[in-house]
Amino acid sequence: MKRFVVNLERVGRWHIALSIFLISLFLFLSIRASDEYRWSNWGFGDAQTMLSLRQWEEGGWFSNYFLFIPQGYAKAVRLFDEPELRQHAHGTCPGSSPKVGPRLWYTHYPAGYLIPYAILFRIGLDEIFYARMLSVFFSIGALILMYIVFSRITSRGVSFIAVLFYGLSPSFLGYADTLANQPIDDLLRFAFMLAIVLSTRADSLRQRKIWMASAWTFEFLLSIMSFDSVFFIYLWLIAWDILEHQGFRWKKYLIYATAPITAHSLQFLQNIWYLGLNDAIIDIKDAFLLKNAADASYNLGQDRLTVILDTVTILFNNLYTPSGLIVALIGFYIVYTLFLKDRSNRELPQIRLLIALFLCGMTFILILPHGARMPYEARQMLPFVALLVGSVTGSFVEEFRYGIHGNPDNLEAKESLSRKSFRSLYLLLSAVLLLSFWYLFILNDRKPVYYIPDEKTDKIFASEIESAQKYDLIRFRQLREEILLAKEIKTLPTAFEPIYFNIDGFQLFWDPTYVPGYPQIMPLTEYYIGSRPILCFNASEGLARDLLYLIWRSPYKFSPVLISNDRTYINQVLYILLREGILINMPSVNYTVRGRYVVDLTNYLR
Amino acid sequence: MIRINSVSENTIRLLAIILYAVIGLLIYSDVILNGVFLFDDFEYVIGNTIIQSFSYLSLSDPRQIGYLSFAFNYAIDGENPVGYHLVNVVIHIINALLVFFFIEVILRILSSGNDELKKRHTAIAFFTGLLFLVHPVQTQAVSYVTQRFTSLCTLFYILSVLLYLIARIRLEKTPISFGAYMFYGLSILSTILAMKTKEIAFTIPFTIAVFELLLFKDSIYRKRRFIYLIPFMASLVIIPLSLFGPEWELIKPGEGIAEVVRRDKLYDLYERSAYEYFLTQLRVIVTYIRLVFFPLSQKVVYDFKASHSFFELKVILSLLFLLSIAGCSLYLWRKASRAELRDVPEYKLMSLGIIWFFITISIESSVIPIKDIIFEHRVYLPSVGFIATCLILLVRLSQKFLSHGREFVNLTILTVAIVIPLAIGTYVRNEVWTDELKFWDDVVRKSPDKAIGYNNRGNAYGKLGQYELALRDINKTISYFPGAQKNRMAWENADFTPTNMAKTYMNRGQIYYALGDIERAKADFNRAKQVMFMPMDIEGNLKTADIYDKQGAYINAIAEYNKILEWDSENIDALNNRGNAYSKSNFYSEAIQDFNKVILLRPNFAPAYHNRGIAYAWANDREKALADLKQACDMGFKPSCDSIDIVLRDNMQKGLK
Repeated sequence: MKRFVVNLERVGRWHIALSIFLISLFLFLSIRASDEYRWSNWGFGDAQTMLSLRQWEEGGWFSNYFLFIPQGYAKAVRLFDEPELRQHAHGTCPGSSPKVGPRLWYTHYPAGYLIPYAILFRIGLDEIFYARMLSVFFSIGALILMYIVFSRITSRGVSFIAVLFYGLSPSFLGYADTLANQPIDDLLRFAFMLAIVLSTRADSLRQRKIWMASAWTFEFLLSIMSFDSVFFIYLWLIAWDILEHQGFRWKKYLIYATAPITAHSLQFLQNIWYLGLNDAIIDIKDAFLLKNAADASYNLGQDRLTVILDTVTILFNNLYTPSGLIVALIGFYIVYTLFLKDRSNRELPQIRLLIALFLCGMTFILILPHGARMPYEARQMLPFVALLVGSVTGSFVEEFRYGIHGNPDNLEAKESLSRKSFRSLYLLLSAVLLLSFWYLFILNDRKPVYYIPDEKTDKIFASEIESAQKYDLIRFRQLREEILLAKEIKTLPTAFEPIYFNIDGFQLFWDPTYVPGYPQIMPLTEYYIGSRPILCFNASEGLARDLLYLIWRSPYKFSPVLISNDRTYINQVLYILLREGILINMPSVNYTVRGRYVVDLTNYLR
Repeated sequence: MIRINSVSENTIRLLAIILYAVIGLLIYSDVILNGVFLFDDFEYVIGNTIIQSFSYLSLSDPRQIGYLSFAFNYAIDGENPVGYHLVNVVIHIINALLVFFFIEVILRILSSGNDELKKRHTAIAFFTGLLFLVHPVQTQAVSYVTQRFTSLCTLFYILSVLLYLIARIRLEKTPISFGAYMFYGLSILSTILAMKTKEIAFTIPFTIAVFELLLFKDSIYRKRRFIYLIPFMASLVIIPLSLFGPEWELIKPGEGIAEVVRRDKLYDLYERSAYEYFLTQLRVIVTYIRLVFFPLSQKVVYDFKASHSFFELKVILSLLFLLSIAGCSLYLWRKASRAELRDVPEYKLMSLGIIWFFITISIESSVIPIKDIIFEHRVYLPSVGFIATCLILLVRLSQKFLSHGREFVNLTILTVAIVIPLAIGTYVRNEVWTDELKFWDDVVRKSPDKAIGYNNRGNAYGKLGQYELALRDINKTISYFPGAQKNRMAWENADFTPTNMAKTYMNRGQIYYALGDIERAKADFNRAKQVMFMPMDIEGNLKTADIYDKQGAYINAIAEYNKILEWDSENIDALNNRGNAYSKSNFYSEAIQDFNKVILLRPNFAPAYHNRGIAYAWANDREKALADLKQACDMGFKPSCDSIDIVLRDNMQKGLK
């Protein structure tokens, strides 16, 4: 036992604990990623990424302007960018860019994060599992870097607790395998923070330059992949100088400002390439004002300050429930620092480090308050809260040790009775607070937002509707029906690339009123149908009109497939096509898939 | 001649593990092989959907660990009772072993490392564990599958105290020891697991505090040693958080039966008299003590009348009896300070045993009212202390009357003389746990005035197709209903809940149906419905629905409103609120139907127009939305006037939501 303990000491107890935690987490996330039906909390976005990747792979990266295109693939899909068919374009949406949208490609976010996944596709690893695993690697990497950064500026113990909190938080677990920017954003954020910390502590000028150049590169990469942490890291750059008493080095900050400016200028050029200068300006201006809360109509009558305060509340509630306990932790740590903390103790972070992290997280909220309401944006505050949790937990352990064994640095030191009593009180109250905090943290909701239950679940819950959880199950049972339908339709052979025309066949929509009369299909359904486009309609006239337009305009051959629950709709469409002289004769081959009529019109069109 | 010195401690430990396992499996073999699901097992175990998949388990359930263990059983055994009973028996055997180690550690601390007494103490610990294992009073906690909550909680309870003692012994020897802190940490973990298994674990911090106070008086840490208690004291928040968390909106409510049980507990806490419960428990505890001494006439259901006044003779006598036992504990502790060195540990252990009994029984038998006044499984954990006390008492008496110098033989003879009848008693008692009819027949025979026996025996007859006998028993049960309905809050009528009464009518209806008497069957089904939704519950259902609504569990809220509307289809509050719940769940047409009905019933009720307007707005029917909101605004309902602006600004969905 003694030898074991000595060996532990040599390697570092906290390193071993971290390794065990990260390996367990990695295994858990890998197993989770292998479940085809278990999606991250950004599930719809993951499906859209898979659709985009298919577009990039089939259509080429350049012809897609390196932009996100959340649409099932067929060559004729490009026609959806024409004004007559834009109701089916799911890129830039009218809600966020009313004067430019809807458009086929999405222009409001850097699409650089798609590149690593697109490379996977290019080398043949085009199954969703591989893409998820790549995200898992990024996420675990982020945790490792976080541990290293915090170890450098506090202690291993505090860093481990912070990483433990971070890694088990719903905001991390919900998005650890997501196919969006969050995992790589996290990775690059901590890489930048580490590079900056190491640059100020470098032994030589050469090393310092290497770390500074690395930091600039990380910042540039982050900026072409994500907006989220750009403000965070820039403020960290300044804050760290202040914490390290390096002064206000404005020239350095100007150099580092070139990284996001260059990256975002490139993104803007991309938009101009696609939209043209005029539309690109209108588009980005409208989108920014909306998220920035400058658009009063979007603020529901609230002034900007109220919008920001509301956002802070929402963000903290997304991070931890009940968020009031975070405030209590802040209070405890301030009291501890003021009255109990040993001034020479460098293991526990100083208050100003926590303030710096808090402010870094706040910048995004202040600049884009509406954007910060997205559940995954809780990550902006996670470094601050994680370090706070680590600090208060560390303070408890430290005082516990002092209380029992005395100050190891000064065993002879006599303590006053009031200090001893205060310590006991602090220990008791902080123990209650920490236990409540961690206990409630374990109970925080980590149920998947997107989950497709199996048939066993149906049997169990068939006769019971008792709780919100089961309500979700019912909703997802519906989704499963849609997915099974999509998967069966996918197996039906078509002569050319299929484009599905849906009217009351698929019944679950991402946005039922995307454009009046044209619901937007669930991206998951499009993914399961083979990453092919599904166009949705409320009326048969609209369907026939758009089908006719596509047939007339498309230089590419495609197989139009009608899907409906109601034979009448099919007949109405066929009647219009017949009337227009497009139909050679009435289709005789019909498929019935899970109670839906599926009609492939390829061989019946003129 | 066998002398205690000729048997090593490790031999006794090894013997304990083997012997306990063999004896435990033997005396519970009938239950393992032939045991069935009984009583609450149909709700907690086999009818419990939340244990059927690990993903359905909610961490917020107060008894999460217990349900988790059932989920493991379900994953392996499904609905086959063998695995469940086997696990229960294994837990019991482990508990007996823990009792052995626990008593051994206490005696080691009390003897301050006196090697001469070591073997005697190991033997005492061994026989304490053995008596705990074979005692018939434990059958309810072991043979009754649902009561795994008790046995599993006991396991974690004893383990946490034992680990704490081990950690403290090590810390006294080596102040900064990794191993000691590992035991210390495991002790905290075990405490948390116990608290998530059953609420009786709430007393662990106090038990540990007592042990710290009494066993480590000469600690090298002096008063600083109390810092070790702080994490345990902090753990006291877990049970209140689990029980009240959903009410305080800190955590989401659990699922299924776990949530029903939690709400029942809160109901008892708020609605039942703590004073009456306390008075009654004074007598109940005396019964428990009697059962430990003389485990005769054991019952699953006791016909135990509640006490209402302190001046009842039985209450006063019980109090005096309990005070005298508590006094004995004090006397023994004091006597230990004047006793010979070799007697000190035993006197102190006897005293501690009594303290243990009172502390561990205090959750279920004090001022926290529970609708069921008495259950034998509640003495499972407290019995550890009493068995230890009684055993030492017997040992000391035997020293006086049996031959000197043959301690181990005397102890063996004495214990075996007790163990064998107890083991036989346990085996015999277990018979009732192997057959549903036998089980309820036993209840009816021993508590002929309790309706629950007739009700369940009737159901058992019904399952066997003996409908005439079933009808006889269920009719007998129903004959209790009028009296029970008059005084619902009486302790004796605690089982007569609307749900239970409705179930009884449903069961009788099914028997009539099986007998071909369709008219009577229908009448009973209707009665069941009426009893279930008694008017007096409307207020309660509205409150419950309101809580669900605030938590965003709209489907639950709708279910509650449905209950009210089945009874009173024109209840304005229920209709209006259900409409809102439908709206929030995106079922706009259903919502609009509800509001239409409210407006039909009460045309001047402005909120209904407002709510319908909102529903129309969410459903994107702008014109109708504006018309309704304007109507409500004209009627003076101010929120509608504000909403009109939002609808006019063309932000219908986003704005109003």
